[in-house]
Amino acid sequence: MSSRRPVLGEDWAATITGLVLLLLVLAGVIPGWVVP
Amino acid sequence: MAGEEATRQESVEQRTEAAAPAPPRTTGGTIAGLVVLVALAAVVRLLDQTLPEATEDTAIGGVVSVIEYPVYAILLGLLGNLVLTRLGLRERLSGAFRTEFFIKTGLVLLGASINLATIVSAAGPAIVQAVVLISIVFGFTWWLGGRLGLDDKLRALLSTAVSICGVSAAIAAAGAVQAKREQLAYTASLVIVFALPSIFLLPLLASGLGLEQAVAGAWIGGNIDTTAAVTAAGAIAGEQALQLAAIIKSTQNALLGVVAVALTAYFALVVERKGAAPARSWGRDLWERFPKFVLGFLAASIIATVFLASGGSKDAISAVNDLRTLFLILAFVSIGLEFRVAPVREAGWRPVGVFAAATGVNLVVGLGLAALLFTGFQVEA
Repeated sequence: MSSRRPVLGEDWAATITGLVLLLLVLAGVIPGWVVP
Repeated sequence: MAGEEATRQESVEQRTEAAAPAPPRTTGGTIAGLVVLVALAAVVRLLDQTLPEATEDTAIGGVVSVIEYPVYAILLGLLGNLVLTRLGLRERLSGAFRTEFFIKTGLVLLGASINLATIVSAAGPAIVQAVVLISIVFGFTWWLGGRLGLDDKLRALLSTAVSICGVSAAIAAAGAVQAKREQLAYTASLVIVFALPSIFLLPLLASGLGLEQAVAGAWIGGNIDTTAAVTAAGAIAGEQALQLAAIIKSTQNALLGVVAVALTAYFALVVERKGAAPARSWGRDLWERFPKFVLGFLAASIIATVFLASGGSKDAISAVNDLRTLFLILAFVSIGLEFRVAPVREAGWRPVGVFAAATGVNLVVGLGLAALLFTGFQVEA
């Protein structure tokens, strides 16, 4: 079963995605007007 | 990490696989599912932003003005579920309906809108509430399940799910006690069946009882089983209630590992009498079962607090909040799209009765603890 999915768990994936998005917005790489 | 983590995360698959062989998932199906999900989320955003103004001077204007986006998201998700099921497409597209991923990403982003001082001052009462509530509700569910003659493994799953954090807890407990897949499917479905009405009822009850925002948030966070439903109910109840609900639920989530390790040892030593607990490092076991998004939630709060303290713009935090809302909408639409009642019908009345009674106890004890620990609590701006 585990062979069907990536090694990175959903928990870690969500944590990294959330923090990366946060840093990109705070750094101004993602401007506020881009977010609908 | 990979094996255990992957097993713990497979909420959707295990719920669906238990009933009947599901059609194979393909990359094309997942992409199509993602298109459906994003389209529904766009409709939710549109309704949330335009409907109150469009209906302002009409007979339904008063009702529409108090409806929050989780309501549109869940209802549209359920509607999409109905249509896709009728078309025989739902299972093929379900690879995209990742409630757990979307909700956890949304919660990490939510951390950025919570001042670190709020988390620090709420931590003590949150831990007390979590430990007392989990102990009472777990103990009651275990006892009642025994009185009604439920299998020990199903008792463990129901007790963990109703007292800690729903589907994730049930999956962790299923791994700990090596429960049957059908038992996990029953429990996971029961969690969702009970959580859906709670999303709407608890904010209404909190408002009817005149609860302060902090107390309402603590009640919602300690009561509703799934993290996604807690967030939906918190968002309906208000921003401060949402922040407290998220802190309380994250605290409960963090205790999941402790309960799972204790269950592993109890089943090995007492129920199955193997004579010794599995030869694993308990520290490693605790870390594997610890929900990592809680760390992300804390890190986001620290980053945003430092960012604002060093003169950062509040507009940037507003953009993060909009991004958080998008992920939460995706999660709430996914809840509706994933919903299934068949496993509950197959379970019979006893697990349903135990779960209902435990939910009642959780409701009453949770309200008492929330009022005791959070009355007068100040949420930092």
